[in-house]
Amino acid sequence: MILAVVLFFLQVILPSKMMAAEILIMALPTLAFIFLFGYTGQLNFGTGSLFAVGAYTAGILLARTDVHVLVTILAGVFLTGVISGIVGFFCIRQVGLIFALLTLAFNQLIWFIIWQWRSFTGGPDGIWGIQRTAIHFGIFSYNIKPSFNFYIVVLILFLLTFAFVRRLIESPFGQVLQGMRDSELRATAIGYNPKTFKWMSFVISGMICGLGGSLFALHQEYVGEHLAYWATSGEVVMMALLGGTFALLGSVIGSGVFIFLSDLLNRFPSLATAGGWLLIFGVILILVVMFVRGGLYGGAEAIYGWLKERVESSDKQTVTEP
Amino acid sequence: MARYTRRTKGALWASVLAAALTLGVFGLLTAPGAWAADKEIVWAVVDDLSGPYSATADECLRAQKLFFEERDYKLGPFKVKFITRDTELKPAVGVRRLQEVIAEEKPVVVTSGCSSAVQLAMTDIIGKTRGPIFWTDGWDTRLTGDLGNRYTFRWASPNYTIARASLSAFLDKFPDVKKVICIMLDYAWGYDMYENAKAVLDERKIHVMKVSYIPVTATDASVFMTEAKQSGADAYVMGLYGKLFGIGLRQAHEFGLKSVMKVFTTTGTLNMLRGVGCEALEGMYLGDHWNHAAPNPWTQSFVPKYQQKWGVIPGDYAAKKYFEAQIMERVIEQTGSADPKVLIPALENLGELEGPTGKERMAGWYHQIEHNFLLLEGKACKNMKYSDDYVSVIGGGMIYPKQGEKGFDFDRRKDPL
Amino acid sequence: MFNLAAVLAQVFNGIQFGVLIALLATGLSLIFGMLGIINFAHGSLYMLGAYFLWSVMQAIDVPGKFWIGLVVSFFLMGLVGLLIERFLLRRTYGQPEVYAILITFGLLLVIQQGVGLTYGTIPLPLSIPAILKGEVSLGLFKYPLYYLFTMILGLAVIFTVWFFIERSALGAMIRACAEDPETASTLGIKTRNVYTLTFALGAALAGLGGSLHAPMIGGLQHTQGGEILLISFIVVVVGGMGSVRGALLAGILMGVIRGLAGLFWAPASEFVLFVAMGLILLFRPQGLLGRKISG
Repeated sequence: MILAVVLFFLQVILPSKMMAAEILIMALPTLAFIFLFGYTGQLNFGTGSLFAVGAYTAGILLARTDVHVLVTILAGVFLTGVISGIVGFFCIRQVGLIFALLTLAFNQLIWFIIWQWRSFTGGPDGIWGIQRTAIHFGIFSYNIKPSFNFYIVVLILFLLTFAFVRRLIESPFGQVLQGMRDSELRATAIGYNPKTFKWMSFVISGMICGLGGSLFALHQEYVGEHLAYWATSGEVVMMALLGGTFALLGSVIGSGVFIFLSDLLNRFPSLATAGGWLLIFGVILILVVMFVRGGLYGGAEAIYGWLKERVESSDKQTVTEP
Repeated sequence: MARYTRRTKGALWASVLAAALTLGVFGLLTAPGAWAADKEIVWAVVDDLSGPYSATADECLRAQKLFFEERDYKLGPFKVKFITRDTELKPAVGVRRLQEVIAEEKPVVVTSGCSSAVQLAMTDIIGKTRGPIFWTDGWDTRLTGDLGNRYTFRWASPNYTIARASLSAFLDKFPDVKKVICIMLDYAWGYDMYENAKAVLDERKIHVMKVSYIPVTATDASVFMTEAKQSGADAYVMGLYGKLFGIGLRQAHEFGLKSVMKVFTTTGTLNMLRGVGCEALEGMYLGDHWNHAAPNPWTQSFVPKYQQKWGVIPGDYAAKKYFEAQIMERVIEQTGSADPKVLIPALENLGELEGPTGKERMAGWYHQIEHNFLLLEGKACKNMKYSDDYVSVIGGGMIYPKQGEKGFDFDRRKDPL
Repeated sequence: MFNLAAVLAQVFNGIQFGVLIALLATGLSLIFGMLGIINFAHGSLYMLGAYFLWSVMQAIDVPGKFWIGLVVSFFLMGLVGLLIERFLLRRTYGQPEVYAILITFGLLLVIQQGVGLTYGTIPLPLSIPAILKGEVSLGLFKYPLYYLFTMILGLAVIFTVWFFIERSALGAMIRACAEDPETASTLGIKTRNVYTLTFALGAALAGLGGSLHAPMIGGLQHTQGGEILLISFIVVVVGGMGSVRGALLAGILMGVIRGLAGLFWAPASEFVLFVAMGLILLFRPQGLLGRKISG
């Protein structure tokens, strides 16, 4: 896929491979959000806490046990799936904004538990002692400590997830979800139970967040409570909106632009005082929203459409000339 | 509502190419330009530049800028490249930016000061990357204790000292205090502070009626003030910082706590005092690392310089960071090297120093600069001689962990570099 | 710790804090009810109002500068709200509300950092006006006079707003627009102006809340808008979107819950609000006094 190639070169272009890895890792909860919002119409403000569940699971296992790396990742995904199943069960009963705020309430619940359960999660201190060493396959082992090697792993996992979601959307299951987004009434009339489908999509979305979290634990070798805080969920939403919430690609675009831009602006010492860089970020955000519809992806689509028209109209001219 | 449709393979190309191009252009523009020119070293400030503690981070930054501008950005024989990064007060962000800075710019020194959780995370990273010299001013005792390493140094007193020195001096002054009620920040720093305060209180057989932990996100402390007022305690022992310091002290005053008990805070800093104001501060007791009116040569030469450049009186953060830079200058000139492997042993052997509080000492075994921690009393508004004259120094102490004590059973000088 | 005086004092505290939050929540609720926008910048507006008060008090040195400052700040914040709605939010009206929300988020950053850059990061002190200093005796306990004052003033303002919306002609127009903008405009009501008015009022109320809160917090800081925003959200949701009385009721309820929770388990005092919100939403999603929201 073209995407694979482009993303592979991302880490060459960007100033740091760590940033490239982080972009893809954060693209996962963004993807989860877009899948849920764009394709099923559910606004999830709890992505941060689910991301954190994955991160803490993987982090605790990595730091305190000798479990195989891939197992920690799977454990992260699985446990997040379970938690999102529980959260989803309560939230699905509502729709729209109330649903969103319920997910926010649960987000803070998880955050609070993480913060207060100091003996297990380290509370405000977080989890240390995570080592990113190597993945063992029997006698063969792949050292993921170097940024480049780790990036390849992240890239593969991201692409697999992306492909999976794409397939899911195009599958009958996905068609039902989209149908439900457009008209729940009709879907119910045809005989589908919306609650079940919504719950399942919520769990899948949660598991993707969990995957992102597990990778994050490996990436930073440190896990902290702020990952579960609502501000992180808010950032995920911003990335999604920035990239375009109706296209899966928006996840990478949004995550990439957000992280890249905030880092870029950070590098100017003149902007350091009182976080001047954050001000500029806010201005850019406002401008993008005001002038570009459908996020950056939508903007690109619009430009492409416009270019195509120009090309086609000039084609028509040459054809109709005698 | 726009839909995702498969037709736009072309749009896919277009947007992805456009993004790649943009990123590429920016990437080239910001590529770590020249490898540091020969004999150029990098000094990095990674701190909370945009969040709730930006006033503190600003003060640190200003002190360092003052230092380097005085020297035309030179340290010994080296030219200095001065860079900054924002931690946004989030350990994960701070950790990432720190790692990037270390990987790209290869600094010799990293300085930081805000938020113990961020400092602890950064120390952990520095230990793993066997990283540059890290001057931290977080107050968590463990930073130079069992979570420290051979690269981390600190001037600021740890919570161990803050709580014990100020509280002991306070209790010495008021031996009638037999029962207290405590409020601390619900944060790593707060727990540490309480443990150390409790040690002092237990030693003197003073009864703790209750300890409340106030969430860092609270916008109001009236709940706790009312409770304290009704409690019948002899003193209110507070361990608050930042926004909650302002809220706590102001509300303690407004709820009339001073009329029924003594009000004591383990530590404050000038910026926070400015927010609270003289009316509230009058008759309150607090600790601090340094006071700008201290009658010693270092302070008397530093304060006017800072004031002239930045137009405000410096607080203890400025003093710390300036002094740390001076220490680095000293060892760099002494050894002629910018290699941490050479500089660290030199730092460890510094011994006695003339610093912001007068006679100070570098305890090489755990990388802490030991010095006097102050007890202050808030002045009445009418007694203030100038607008920042909030407190008078009424005591202090130098109480530091001993080698071999719990959490301090090591000698950093024995660790490999 | 659990004597009657302590508990009563806490309840009182809770009501006072609740009224303050209700000022913000009322504005948020109106904006949501009318424009369908979650105004993420509301916390920054609260903070900005306090800073405007400070500026006015710095600029003029006459007795009563606090009161003058309060009034000036109120109207300045209304103006700010007007400008925001007219030039930024209006562009997004045809589109899904998420875009307006994103703009308010950008605004949060701009206002917050802008204030930090303009006023500096050192906390700015603001004192209680002289006539309101000291405590009053309320039977079993003493209570700071200024806090009592803000509670009464807050209640008065909220009641005035409610009265205005429910009983005046202009209020009727506002309600008409909220329920059915199309019909309202066919009746000749300039819906656009109503939107602007609503947002301006919401901003002014937020600013007033900030101004009243300012002397209580020991130093204005540019980042103080963040946490109060979240509490305001909770109150709006619990009270019911679009309901002024709901905002007040929920504010007081939440304030009291928070106060009592502080007596039992202090670290949970902020968090318990989320639990309360979650529980209420699960069983009564339209909030205490809100209208039922359809599918």
